[in-house]
This record gives sequence, structure tokens and C-alpha cells, in this order.
Amino acid sequence: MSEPAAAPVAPAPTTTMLEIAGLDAFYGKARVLDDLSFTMERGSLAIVGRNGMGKTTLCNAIMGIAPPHAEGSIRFEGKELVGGQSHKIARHGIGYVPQGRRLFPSLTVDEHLRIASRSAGGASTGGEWTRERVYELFPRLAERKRNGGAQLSGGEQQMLAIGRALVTNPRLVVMDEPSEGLAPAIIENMIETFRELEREGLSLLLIEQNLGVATSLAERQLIMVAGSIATETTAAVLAGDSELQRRYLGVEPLAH
Amino acid sequence: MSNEENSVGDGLQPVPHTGSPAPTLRLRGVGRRFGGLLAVREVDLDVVQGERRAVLGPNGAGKTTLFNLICGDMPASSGTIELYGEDVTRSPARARVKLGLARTYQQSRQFLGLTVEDSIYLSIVGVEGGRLRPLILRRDAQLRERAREAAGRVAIDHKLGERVGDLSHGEHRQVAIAMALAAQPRMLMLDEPASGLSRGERVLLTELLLGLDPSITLILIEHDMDIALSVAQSVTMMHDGRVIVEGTPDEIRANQTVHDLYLGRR
Repeated sequence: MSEPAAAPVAPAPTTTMLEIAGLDAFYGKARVLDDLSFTMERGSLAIVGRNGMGKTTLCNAIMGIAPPHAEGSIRFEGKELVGGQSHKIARHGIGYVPQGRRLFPSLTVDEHLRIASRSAGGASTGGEWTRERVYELFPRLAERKRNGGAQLSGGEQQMLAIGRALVTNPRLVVMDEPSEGLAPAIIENMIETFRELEREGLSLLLIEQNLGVATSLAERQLIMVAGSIATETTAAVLAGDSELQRRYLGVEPLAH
Repeated sequence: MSNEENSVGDGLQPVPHTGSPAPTLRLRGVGRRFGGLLAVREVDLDVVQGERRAVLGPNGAGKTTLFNLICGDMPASSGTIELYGEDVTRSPARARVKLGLARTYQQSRQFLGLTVEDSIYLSIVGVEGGRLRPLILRRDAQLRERAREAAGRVAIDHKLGERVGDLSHGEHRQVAIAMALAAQPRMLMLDEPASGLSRGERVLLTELLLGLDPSITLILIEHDMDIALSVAQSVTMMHDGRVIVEGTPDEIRANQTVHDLYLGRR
């Protein structure tokens, strides 16, 4: 909204959030994403798949984060992201919960949240997420407010990584296994919160190994195999079809 | 439950025999303080040979810290830790590894430049190397085979030749479990082994844990209740650094405190 008029044509008022077309990404010579394409409307979308299929690389490519050399197109609300710098991508209104948490060991919980909310810049809309609201979502973090990142348990770090993305008040959150390391009751709480946020208009792109989380948060389920989207299904079908699960999430060699 | 079994791996470990059915692991009054924070307090724990024990608890309950104290990754601030009848409270981690302890971590701690096979191979050599250096070369092919076999057990054998640094997060976790298994421990401690694994990989992990040599003692931190409660015979529930409930999986499922603090409504 507050972007200077860089494009001659005003972006059409569309509900398309993310449009990825012909995306390739490489680590050196290894092709990790292979002509990957999908379109995501406002709302939620989950991407599931075995380990090593390129899911995290896809997230990193969207966020413009390091190694992968990406070719193709990633449009967020019509704006091209490929080739962009990650801090600018974040300011377009995309929050990221990376795998492995990536926190600063010496910063306290509160400092992480303060810095994240400040660095969001003016691009975000709504502006409803505050540190206080994060502490309501994860009361454990409130108890750990003054503890440094290095003093947090794995699950507490995960809560902080989610909170850090939310205080930027994004319109889209890309979450790479947000439930990892969280206790069952906290996951339940998180699912409820994200459903509420969705109703408020937040879009979620969710990478999840926990099928329960993936299928309760997103109706559309994309299954990723070897760097591209192999098939698309719905939460109900995926949850109930053990053959589908075995075929795409199992450990047998994939039959093409 | 089972009597002590000293038939470990190739029978390589000169293990102190206690001759009594003493617990494999015995903690008394174990605590750990970080500045003003008591991460683990007054923990008593007895685990017998061959037992499958799950350690559950909310995030920040002190589960991983307890693992760190048992493994010697950090010293206990108070209390005593006995492993196979030996007081190891002040022993370094490597001494505990020599007694047959192996563990995995939540976050990957691997050498990114090594291949998967070399990483697993080195975890075997690391345990046996000190004692067996002259034998290593002769047995090299055998140890390599053992490394590949361990990789197969966690379904990462299709990546044997790849650099660990090129693997995904979930694959790192598979490699870590393979490294721990390949060391042929008497006591295996897994810190959230299922996290980062897909549905199918979790099924395989469950099968692997259920099929583990019954003489191996298994201590498991795991938030996936399908896995934790199907694998464990006994459960220790921690909260705020303390052990608050112990029981069988059925008792744990039926315990209201466990639901309130940990499981939620399910």
C-alpha cells in the first residue's frame, strides 16, 4: 500500500496471495526445486512431503534467503520476489518462521520481539500483534521474558520464532514446521490461534511433518516430491487415505 | 525387569560388573541451576537394564537439561548420578560414552563436510577407537558395513555418499539416530527423535524402537504421543524441573495432571 508507485500499472485488486511459476533452485549443481509452480489464494495452504524433497528450500527461495540460486517467478500480491533481498521481502508483509529457530543466543525473549516489531517497517497493515499478545499466546514466553535465547529450551525457542514472525504483523506467514518440538497442549493452542488469525485475514503457507497440524490448519494440501508439486489434495482426503500417505509420505522408494 | 546383560555389541566393552540387579541408571537428588533458574531440581530416577522409559513434560520442564546431566554434557549442581553401578557424577561425557551411553540432540551437531556414511562410521570409531586402534584398519570394511546398515535402519541409506551439509533438517535427524545406533550403545537416549520426520519416517522410527534389542535401555524425550506411549513401558513426567508423575503409559493417559499440564484436551 505504502510502496512508491514503481510499477506503471496499478496492481489489480486480486485475492491471489502467492503465485509461483517455473521455479528452479540449485545448490551448486544440485537441482533442489524443479519447475515448481502453484498459486495460493488468500487463506491457508499446507505443503507436505518426505524429508529432503525441497520444502525448506522453497521457503528460503520465497524469503530470498541465501544459498539457493533461484530461477523462475515468485509473485507475492503481484510483486516479483525472485532476486529481491530478504529484508525487503519481509517488509512486503511476509513473516517467516524458519526451521531450526535461528535466534540470537545473547538477546532476551523480549528483545527479540521488540527488534522484530521495530524492523517490520511501515509496510504491514493492521498492526494488531504486540508483544503482549504473543505472551498471551505463549504464556511460557512471558515467564522467560528476560532469559537469553541460549537459555531457552527447544520448544520455547520455537514459540519465540513464531512470536517474532507475528509481531511484524504480516499478511502472509511462511512457517517451516512450526509445531516441531512443541508439547501437545501447546500445539493445540497454536492451532486454535492460527485458525482465529486466518479468520482475521492472515494467510498461512505451512510446511508441516505433523499431519494433524497440517490438516487442521489448511484445507488445500500440496504434496511435494523431488523438488516439485506432485499432487494436490484436501485435508480430509489426506487425513483419511493411508495409501496416499504411504505413497507420498512413506519411506519406500517413490514410484513415478 | 531383565537381569543384567553384558553381551554388548561384539563384547568389546570392559564393563564393571556389579553382580547385583542395580539400576542401569540411578539419580538421587539431581539438580541443575542456571543463575537464578533451577532447570532441574531434586530428581530421583531409576531405570533398569532394557527398560523403555519416556520422559514427557511441557516445554521448558527441564527434560533436555536432565539428559545433559545424565550424559555429562554439563555437570550437575547437586546430587549423584550412577551409571551401571559406577558413580559418574563428576565423570566427563566421554567416560560415560565408554560405559555404553549414546544420545541424540534436538539440534544437529554434525560435521557438515563429511558424508553420511563417514559420519556414521566415525561415530563407531569414536566409541571403539580408543581401545581398538590397531584393529580398526583390519575391521574397517566391517565397520563400514555396520555404518551402512545403521543408515538403512532409519531410511537414510539412499544418501550415504552425500555431504551432511547438503541434507535437510529432517535428514540430519535421521543421521543422528543412525550415528547413535551404530555405536551399539547399551543405553540409548533420544531427544525428540520424531521431530522433523515425515509420517512414514515416524512409522519406521516406531518400528525401529519397538524392534530394538531388548537388552538396550532406551530413554526417550518425545512429544509425539503415538510414538512415546507405544514404545515406552514407563513414563516420567516432568514439570518445572521436577518429576511430578511416574507411571505406565495407561496410567499417564488417565492422569488428570498430565492432561492439564501437558496433553491438553486430547
